[in-house]
Formats: sequence, structure tokens, C-alpha cells
Amino acid sequence: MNSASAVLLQTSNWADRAPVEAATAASRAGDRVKGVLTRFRLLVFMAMVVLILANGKAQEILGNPKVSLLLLLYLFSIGAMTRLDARFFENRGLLSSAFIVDTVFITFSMVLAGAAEADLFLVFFTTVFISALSQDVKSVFFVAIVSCALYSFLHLKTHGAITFSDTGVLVRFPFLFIAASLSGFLAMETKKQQEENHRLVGMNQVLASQADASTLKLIETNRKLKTLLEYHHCVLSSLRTGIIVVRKDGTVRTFNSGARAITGQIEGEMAERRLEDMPENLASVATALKRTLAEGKGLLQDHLELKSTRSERVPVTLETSLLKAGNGEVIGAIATLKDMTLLRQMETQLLRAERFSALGEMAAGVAHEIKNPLNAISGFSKRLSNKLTEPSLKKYADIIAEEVVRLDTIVNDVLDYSRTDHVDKKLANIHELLGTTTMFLEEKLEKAGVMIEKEYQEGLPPVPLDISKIRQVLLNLVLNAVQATPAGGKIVLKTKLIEGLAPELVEGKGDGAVFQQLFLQQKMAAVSISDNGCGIAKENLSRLFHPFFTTKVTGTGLGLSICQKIIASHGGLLDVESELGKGSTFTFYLPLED
Amino acid sequence: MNNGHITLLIAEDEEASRFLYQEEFTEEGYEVLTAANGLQALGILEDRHVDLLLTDVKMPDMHAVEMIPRVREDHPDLPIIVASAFKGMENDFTLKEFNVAAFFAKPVNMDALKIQVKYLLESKAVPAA
Repeated sequence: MNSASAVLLQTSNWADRAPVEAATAASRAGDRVKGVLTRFRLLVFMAMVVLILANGKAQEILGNPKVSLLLLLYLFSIGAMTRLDARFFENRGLLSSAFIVDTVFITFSMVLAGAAEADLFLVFFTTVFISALSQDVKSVFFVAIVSCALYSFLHLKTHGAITFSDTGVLVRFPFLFIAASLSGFLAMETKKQQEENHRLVGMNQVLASQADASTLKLIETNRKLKTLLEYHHCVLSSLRTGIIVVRKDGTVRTFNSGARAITGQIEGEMAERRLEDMPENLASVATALKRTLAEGKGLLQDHLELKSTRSERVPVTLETSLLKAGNGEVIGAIATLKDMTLLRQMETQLLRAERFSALGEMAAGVAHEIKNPLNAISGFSKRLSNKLTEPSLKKYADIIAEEVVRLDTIVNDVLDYSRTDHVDKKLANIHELLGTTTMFLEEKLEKAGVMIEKEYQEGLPPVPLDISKIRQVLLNLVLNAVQATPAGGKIVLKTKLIEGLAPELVEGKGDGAVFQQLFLQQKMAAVSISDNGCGIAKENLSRLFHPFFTTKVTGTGLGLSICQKIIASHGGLLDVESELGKGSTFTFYLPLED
Repeated sequence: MNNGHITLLIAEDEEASRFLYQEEFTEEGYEVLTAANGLQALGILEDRHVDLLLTDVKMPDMHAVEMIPRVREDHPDLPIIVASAFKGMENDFTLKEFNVAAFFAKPVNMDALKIQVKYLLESKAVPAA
């Protein structure tokens, strides 16, 4: 960028230089004329003085005030001329006038000096040649005419008349004109040559500067093109959308990194490939592109699934369109692939949430309708049991009462499952909560012959949680552990402060990418309940948290799904690790910051 | 048991439950009045002296949340027990505000309910004694 602007600066210098140089050339010509003219006039002046001094009547001539004035004026005009600007001497008219004035001056000086008898015509020749300096034929001829007139005037004045017998004098006139023409012609030619040279130099300069400018323009355009290309490349490779461009003949021209991310195919291997030779997982894309080229119109395929090379199924939206050149000619086709995984995930979550809330409403309604009759059944069966004395009949009534309790539990579980989203969080000491929960279960633990071991992290800060709901989770998890553990076994309760979860733990477990991101960063309290019981079969692990899934003979299959919902509503995560025959560990993570 | 001088009002739209309460509390020696809806219950409260009200929450004409404030207009100290098939009524702010003494979830544990009724009537009787 810096070098470019420097180059640009230089260009502007060159562009400005041409007129400046033209002006300098012109002033140089003026200077030359000025120098020659000044020297010539000084020479004339000195010649005059020598002529006067050489004359016998020198004192008389110099005593003439007219002569002295004329000489002084001439000297003054020479002095004044040296002060004039060089450009002044390019004016031809002015130069001609100067020559004429000089010629007149010389003639009169000679007359006054009484030297008219001398070979005056030679002076006129000199004048005519010098006047060629003006480089104009017309002014040279004009000077020649004036010289002729002056010469004839002087001749007449000294000889009285010019006769045809006076050939010596007559011949001088045409010679004067020939000399004028010759010098004028030569001067013109020189001038033309000079002008031509000037023009060529000027043109060269203009051409040179133009050439420089166009080279720079090319460099600049090249740079811009390169930047544009890089920019386009960046845009293409930064897009998450997959872009595949094929030429009209069906060969791949562009395959961006978005397309690689979705399909797992590598750009280098895809370039120049024919649509017929597309890899299997891109078959649907190839078909769509072929159809687009054949039918001349774009296609939209929603809810398409592509197998990536890692054999994951990626939900995509495929859209194709014709690639047209500036003149409207079809030169290929473009396919865009949008990864819809996240969107589908969100849709699924939303759907699930809606289903939950619908289930919740329904559950609440059904529960109410069931519990009202249960109230009477329960009450009357107990009354019957109290009033009956016949043991078998009494047993029947008791069975009714017990079954009512079971029914009620199921209804409550369904209700809990559909109503876990309202949490009332307060800062609580998790260790105290674990203590009260195990105390509550002491009798059951003793009966099952199971020991509880505690591995608590010291200084675990209080956790914002809904005490009754988390107690429900703990009860559920510890009871499950007790049921899974044979007599003499042990259950380990462990707490730990962790700074964000390991990514592999979060993978596929949290609700959505943003949610997962939170897990990776937050400080969390981890609570785990481990048993050395029967363990859980691998195929059941993933189904464990689904509502109504159970491996127990008795149970609604809602317990763990309720636990998971409660932990999720706290912004936490419930995880399980298990090995068949060795035991299971359930761990839940609760964020420390609300 | 001689609770004959004590009158209970049962507001319950479910006939079976109403009958159950009536049987249980009559057997305990209370005088039991019954209403099948909220308006009936309010009518009885106007005409008769009642020592304790046991009411359902959702009744066809009136919800307990509407009925209890109206009961409180004339009976600020009447002990009220709510028994509902809805879970979590104990968290209802309106009912808390109108000083409901106890909440029972259906199916109601009758023994616990009887103890609660007895306790409320006795603690009510203490200041009078």
C-alpha cells in the first residue's frame, strides 16, 4: 500500500513536468536570441565609434549634439535590452522592429559620420543575415526592403541619381534580396527543425508519462484484481454454507470449505470432477445440478439428508440455480448446501417443549379426574377394612387401599414429570441436603444392608437450587442405587467443584450448542452417586432418561426422566456412567452462578 | 365420642367423597352439614352456626379461591381445611392470604384429616375456655 501510493506520487510529478519543460525550452530560445542580439548591437555600437574616430572630422562629429544623443540612446537601448525578459525576444514583430531601428540607426550614424562613401551595402547584408534570427521570411524581406530603400536614399544623396550604367549599384539590390531569401529560408528550415525537435521531445515526454501512467494503472488494476480474488476466496471459504459450482459441461469448478464441512469431501479431490463421477454421498446434489442444467431452472430441496464421510447423517437444505455470465448466457450451475442440524435441533427442542407443556396440561387434568374418585375409593376401602372382621374380606379391602396408593404414585409421577420447570432457587449447602436425604433413607439402607460412604469436597460454595426438587432428585438417585446394590454393597456420595465440563461429556447431552457452550465455561458443583451394583446394559444407557422407560418390575419409568428435567431446569446436566456387573455412577452438575 | 355440639360443613361436589366425609365425621360424633357446590355452602353458612369448613377447590359453580374470600367476610375466624385433587394448593397465595388452616391432597389420608380437624377445633376452643 505504501509503495503504491509512493509510485502514484511519482506519476503525478511526471505528468506535471511536461509543460514546465516546454516553458524552459522556450525561454532558452529567447535567451539565445537575446545574447546574440546584445552582442551584435554592442558590435554595431563599437563599429560606429571606431568609424567616427577613424574619420578625420571626429571631433566635429562628436561635437554634434544629435550624434551624441543618438549614440547615448543606442547605448541605453542596449542596456535596457539586457534587463528584458527572455520571453520578450520570442516576439517576431518586436525583433523585426528592433532590426529596422538598428538599420536606420546605423545608416544615419554613417551619414552623420560622413562615412556614407564607404561600402555601406555590406552593413545591410549583415543586418539582413542577423535579422534571420527572427526566423521569419517576411520580416527578413521587410528588413531587406528597408535596407534597399535606405541604400538607394544614401546613394541618391551622395551621387545625385542612379543610372542603368551604374550596374555595380543595381546588382546589389537583387543580391540583397537573394541573401535575404537564403538566410530567411535557412532560418525557416532551422526553425522548422527546431520546432519539429521540440514537438518530438514534447511528444516523447507526453508518451513517456502516458506509458508510465498506464503501466502504473496496470499494476494497480492487477493489485485490485488480486485483492478481489483473495476477497472472493475468503468469502467462499468463510461461508458455512456449502457452495458447489459446476461448468456447463458438468465439471466441478468450485467446491468450498463449507461444502467440505457438510459432505466431508475435500476440495482438491472434487475440483474438475464430472457430475457423473460424484461420490455416492453427493449423488442427490449431482442429480439436482444435472436437472438444473438440463431444465434451465433452479431447484429447492428441503429436508434432505446427506451422509458425511464420517457416516453421520447431516440434515441439509439444497438449493440450485443457474450460473449466468454478464450477457445472460448460461455458463454453469450452482448448488448451495445449508447445514440444518442446529435448526432441526432447535425445532425438535421446541416441539419437545410444546409436547411437554401439552402433556403437563393433560396430566394435570387427568390427575384431577383420577384423584377425585381415588379419594372415595381409598377412604371407603379403609372403612371397609376397619369394619370387616372376616380376615379374607378384610384382606380384599386392604388390597384395594394399597392399589389406590400405587395409582396415586403413578399419577403424582406423571404430574411431577410435567411440572418440573418451575424451580424456586435458593442458595443451599449441598452437603446438608445430602445429609438430610440419607437420614430419611436410613431405615431402607439398613434393611438393604447397604453402606453409605461420603467423599465431600471441602469448601464447596452454596449452590442456587430448589431444595425440594433437588431432594427429589437425590432421593430418586440414592433409592435407585440402593435397589441396584446387593446386601453388603456400598454407595459412594461424592461432591466436587469443577470449572466447566469436559467437551466430550457435554457432546450430544446438553440442549443445543449455546447451552453446551455454557457448560464448558461455567463453574459447577458436581454431585455423584455411585453404587457397586448390577450396572446398566449399554443399550439401555441412552434410553434411561426417556419417560416411561424402566427396567424395574415395578415403577412408572418416570423417575430418571423427572430427575433429568429437574436438573435441566436448574441449567445443569445429569450424566450416567455404568458397566454391567460393576455398578453405576450418576452425576449431576449444577451451575454455581444463577 | 361426643362431638355432637360441633358442626362441620363439607363443601364437595363429588358425591362419593362427600358421602365418605359425612360417614367418617358423623361416626366421630360431629354434626355434619353438606353442600354440593360453593353457593350452597355460602347459604348454609348464612343460616347455620358452623365450627369448621372442609372444602374442595374445584366445584362446578365456584372455585375455592372465589368462595373462601366471601366466607371470610362474615366468618373471619372460621377454621378452613382445603382438600383438593390438585397438587400444590398449599402454595396458592390467595388461599394463604385468607388464612386457610390446612391443606390435604386427595386421596386424603382420613386419619390425618381427623387429627387435623380435632386439633383445629381444640386450639380454637382454647381462647374461649
